[in-house]
Amino acid sequence: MITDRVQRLKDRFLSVKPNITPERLLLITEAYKKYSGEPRHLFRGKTLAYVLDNLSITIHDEELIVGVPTYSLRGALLFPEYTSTDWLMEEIPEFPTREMDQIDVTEEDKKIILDCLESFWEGKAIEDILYDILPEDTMAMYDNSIIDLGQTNTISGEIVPDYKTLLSKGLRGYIEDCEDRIRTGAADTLEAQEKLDFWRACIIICEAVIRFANRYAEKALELAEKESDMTRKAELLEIASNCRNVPENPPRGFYEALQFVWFIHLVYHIEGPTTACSFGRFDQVLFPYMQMDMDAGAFDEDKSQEILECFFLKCGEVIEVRDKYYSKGFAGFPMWAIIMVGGLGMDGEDATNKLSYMCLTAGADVRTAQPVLAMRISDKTPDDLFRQASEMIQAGMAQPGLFNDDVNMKIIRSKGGTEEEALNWNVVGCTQPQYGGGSSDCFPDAGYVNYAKCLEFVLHRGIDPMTGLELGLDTGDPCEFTTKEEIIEACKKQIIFLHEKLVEASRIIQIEQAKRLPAIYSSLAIGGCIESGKSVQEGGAKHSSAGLFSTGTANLADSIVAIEYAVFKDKVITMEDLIKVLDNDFKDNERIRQYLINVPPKFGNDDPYVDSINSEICNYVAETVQGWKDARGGHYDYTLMSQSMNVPQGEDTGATPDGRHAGDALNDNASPMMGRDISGPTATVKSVASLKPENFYAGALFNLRFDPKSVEGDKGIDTIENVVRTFFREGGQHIQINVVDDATLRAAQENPEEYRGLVVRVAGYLAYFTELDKHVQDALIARTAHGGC
Amino acid sequence: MGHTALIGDIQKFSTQDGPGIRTTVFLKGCPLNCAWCHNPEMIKPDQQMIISPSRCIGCMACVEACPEGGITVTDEGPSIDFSSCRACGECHAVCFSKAITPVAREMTVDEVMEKVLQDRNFYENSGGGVTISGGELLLHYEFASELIRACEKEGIGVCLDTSGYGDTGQLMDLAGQAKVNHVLYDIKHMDDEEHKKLTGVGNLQILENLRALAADENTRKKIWIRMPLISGINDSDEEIHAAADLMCELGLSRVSLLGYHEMGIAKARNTGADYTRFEAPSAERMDEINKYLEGRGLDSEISGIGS
Repeated sequence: MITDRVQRLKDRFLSVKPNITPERLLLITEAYKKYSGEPRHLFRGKTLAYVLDNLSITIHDEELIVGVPTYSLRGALLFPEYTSTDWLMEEIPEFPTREMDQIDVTEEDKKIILDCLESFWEGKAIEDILYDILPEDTMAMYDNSIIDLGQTNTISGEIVPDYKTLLSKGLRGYIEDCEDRIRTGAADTLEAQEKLDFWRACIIICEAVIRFANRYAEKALELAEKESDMTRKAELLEIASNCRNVPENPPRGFYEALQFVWFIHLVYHIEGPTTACSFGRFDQVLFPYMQMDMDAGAFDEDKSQEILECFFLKCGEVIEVRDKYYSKGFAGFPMWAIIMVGGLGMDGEDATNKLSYMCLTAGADVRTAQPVLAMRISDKTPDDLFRQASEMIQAGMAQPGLFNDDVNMKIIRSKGGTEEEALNWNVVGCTQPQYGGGSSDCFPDAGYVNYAKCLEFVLHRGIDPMTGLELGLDTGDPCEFTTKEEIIEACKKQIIFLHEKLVEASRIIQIEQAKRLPAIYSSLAIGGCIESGKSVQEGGAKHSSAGLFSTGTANLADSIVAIEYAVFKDKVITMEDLIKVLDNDFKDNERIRQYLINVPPKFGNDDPYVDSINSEICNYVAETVQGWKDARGGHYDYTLMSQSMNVPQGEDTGATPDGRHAGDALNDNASPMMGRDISGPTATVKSVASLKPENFYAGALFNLRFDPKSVEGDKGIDTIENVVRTFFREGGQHIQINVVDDATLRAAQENPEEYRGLVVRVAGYLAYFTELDKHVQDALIARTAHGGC
Repeated sequence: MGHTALIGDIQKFSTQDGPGIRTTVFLKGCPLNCAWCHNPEMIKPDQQMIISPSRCIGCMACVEACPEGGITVTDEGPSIDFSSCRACGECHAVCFSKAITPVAREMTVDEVMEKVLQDRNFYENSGGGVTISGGELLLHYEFASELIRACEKEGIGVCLDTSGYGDTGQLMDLAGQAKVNHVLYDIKHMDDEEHKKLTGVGNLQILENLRALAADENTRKKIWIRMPLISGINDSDEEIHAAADLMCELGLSRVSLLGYHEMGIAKARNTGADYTRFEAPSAERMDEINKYLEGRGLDSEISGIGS
């Protein structure tokens, strides 16, 4: 049961629109002027320390967990060292009214921001620098939704830190560790010298974070003195005591542990524009501190639940500012702050504990888009935990996302993880499995390749029909093709070509990030960085990897089979005419479009013929690209994941032979094309499992939508569990389920005011449906809602 | 081996026709003609065409293709002169938008099993299996028998969904098979005359068959009564009491109440059949009936997609 306090905090949160303040922009500008000329590690350390030392300190009414990025609630920070002034100056005036992910900014602040950007930052952001040096053809591909390049204006290294070690040592422990290394370290080469700089920078930042927390302690004391309500006064005094102790020292109980984790998490979002900083195996890492309370006889379950829910609400307070395009590709302000519960322990037995259940309860109570709950499922998962999760899903909460322990552990082993790292596996990013224990830096988003566009290249001999630019390969005259195998081969060539271009660019991005913006604070608690004296950008992590994403994979497989049926088999149209029909977006050819939609089989219906083509292509690409090395010697992780990039990439893609109209969204993630899976959910999950997700180092994201009527009552809970268990038994890696009917979504479109709390799954994350733009809303409604009979 | 039948549909993820996640196989042809039938396109034993007007794009290909000249197309979609239609399928072959399709497909047991086996893991995890429905499966005794044996060979449990109208020996044989776990058995009306008026056949044979099933310890346990309830037709106290009396007398326990729904009407219209619109009992009345049956010691539930 949600307490009155948590309800009020939530209502306050939802009543406020995301907004930006000039606070960090002004501070980082001062810091850049002050420390200009310092070597890069120290520069990074000192500028972050300067921002932390000067950020305003705000404790909102009734809060139990404290720490905010800026003074206004849901306020976002600006990162001019990452984000190009070009688009910021152009788009900030439109932020409050733009179609998608609107952001408020006051007139006064707008002027301050624009003046500051104009006077100092033009051309200085890494985004500007990269756009100048990236190859011209790659940039043209990027500009036209053929590929998407990741981390061009965000911090490289979205992470799950080693919270276990952080909590056990406190930041003081890290400072001492670095001091030891500096004492004994040599300084006789440039490389050795840079290690010393790295450790010095770590110390500078840790001290600054400790000061930051102590300023919260002072603020709490100040408020306590003025407070007349004795209960709140006591709370503020406790907050002060917490902030004095953590994150400098190990927490003395569960409450302090949560405050510790929040400070650490918050500062990731002050160091750089970042997302997907997750909490890892939250129940495993934090339970010992709850146990500490229990052992001391001080455990109060209701109080702990309330503090946990206050922590959950804090997670929505950090927001990343994105431009117009990415506000569609990553719709709904996703931050991918994932809390993982359940799963196997180091002994191979189920490790569920009391906190696992409490986290699910907290998610069900607060029902906010952040954090995102994820749950590991094995054969040993307790029935009551699974049931609690299924009840949440049945009630339409769209979480937790469910992960198959067995397949994810296999993935970790196959990409070189130890048995311990496999047992302790965790999600980094959205749904991508990574080595457990905080030793993996993931450069999660090297970029996305548009697979539907690859077919357009095949059909137009390397010319992009939308722009007329020759950006693909000439794979021969398609009118000479007589078998589907020839089309498949040509598509594979185009796909690999685009992946090569993408990877070439991603290496340049990685190198520039390492040269200019090593993220010292984000590297601090990643296993391997302190030991090696290097940031994650410089390859300091024990495991480095970069994610390669794919969009429109189902459209491609469906289209290849559609061409085979229409042109080679039934001969209802010639290849030449088909290409013309596609170029005209089926104008005056609806009959052919109906043939293409209804006659050839489609992915998602447990039809091995088309499913195996999807699987063949994806597995071929995975096998090829996963052998490549990134600029740091890390490997590339392939994944069937589009986020909501299927919407903007679809907008720039012409009509496809599967009957999809030009500009329509492509299929989302690993799921079938919207509306084409018409054989029920059992068929859909089997098709997705047949893609063999265990072969993809970063998995395969799968969205399934049920009509609420089909999963009603106790039998409905059983049905959800059975579908999930069977999907996992068939080899599924991840599944997330929306239980919501069309009528509700349409009503929410019509009357957003009444539905502002309606949370839906977009991709690996949750978003408020009414805050999504209409195109993304429509794509969600178009997902097949599976009913039963 | 090698029997074929006209199969209307093989419905996966069927969660209302027996326990767990099931695949329901619909056999075409039924000796009854219930006025409220929700699968009216499955009544005739022969192939027929069905139209989906909203899918029509007005391309007129069907008009040209029909050898009888029996199709017209308007803004409201295609219309077939069903009196002259021989279900030759020429229209379907050229209708790419699937606005005209055959109701059923002739399949062998092996072909049906291929579909059934795709969801085997779902049955195992959920305690589900195959439901044989219709139409009326007793019209397809040989085929149903072979299908049950094929399921048995694969270790898949079977539910029979029957009106109970057919040969007693055949019903006893099918229901007695080891892998048949449940026999979903309809009680539509307790009065013979009324039954005849509403369904085209009297209920004497049906009740006699029910008694035969109940007389055998093995098959009695499998009986799962289903009562389609239509307001003003078979939901009176008198009716419900009579049905309850019978169930108690025969030592039956499990009963599902299925409120009338209108989903059959469009299908009747789209196959050129007559139809009558009925009303479902109110939710309160359904509850009342359910409580009454529970009070009689029966394991009763309200199920189905209802109203």
